[in-house]
Amino acid sequence: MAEGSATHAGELEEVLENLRALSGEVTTAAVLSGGGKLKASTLPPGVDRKRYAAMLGALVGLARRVARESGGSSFTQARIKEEGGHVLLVGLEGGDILAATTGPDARVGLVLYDMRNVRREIERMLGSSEGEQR
Amino acid sequence: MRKVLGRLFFLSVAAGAAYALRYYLEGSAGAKKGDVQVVLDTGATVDPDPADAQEFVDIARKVLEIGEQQAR
Repeated sequence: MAEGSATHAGELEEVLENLRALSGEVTTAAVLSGGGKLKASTLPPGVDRKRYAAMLGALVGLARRVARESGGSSFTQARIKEEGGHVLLVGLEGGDILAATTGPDARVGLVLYDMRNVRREIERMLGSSEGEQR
Repeated sequence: MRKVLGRLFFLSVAAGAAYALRYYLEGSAGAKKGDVQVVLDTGATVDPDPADAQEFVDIARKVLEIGEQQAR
């Protein structure tokens, strides 16, 4: 079973790397569980994954709170612009999140379009992974 | 007449300086309107209030900093 989930993590990382290749403006990409756990990412070894996941989790929590306070039950997409670049979040089925970062001059609309395109594939993988674990 | 023109000139310079200062401060301080956008499951797009937007931007900066480690 552990081998199965490792395979899925590998497949997910391949999809994230494809997203990075497809949209050259994506600097990092990750899939985060609803509980804030990093399921897969394009971060190389040596990068502080725990801190990265914690910060993304904080953004997701904040976006969910803003969504609830604004009359929704959750968010489907969030974009945050900072001097150094953008952080983009796309909601997945089951509460997981697809996250990506870009440089400051990225065409964010195009990156979000590419993220939405790979969303289905990631959801399918995550769905089959959960099915195997049951 | 010269006195009035002198005062008018002084007032124009002061107003210009105040406008420039305001423009500079707005540009450098915190999150600006439109920096953060959240699309809800209802389809509505929300601009969070300035305090929340600032929190979003501060956390996003940290995410970007960590991501940049890979380039080093």
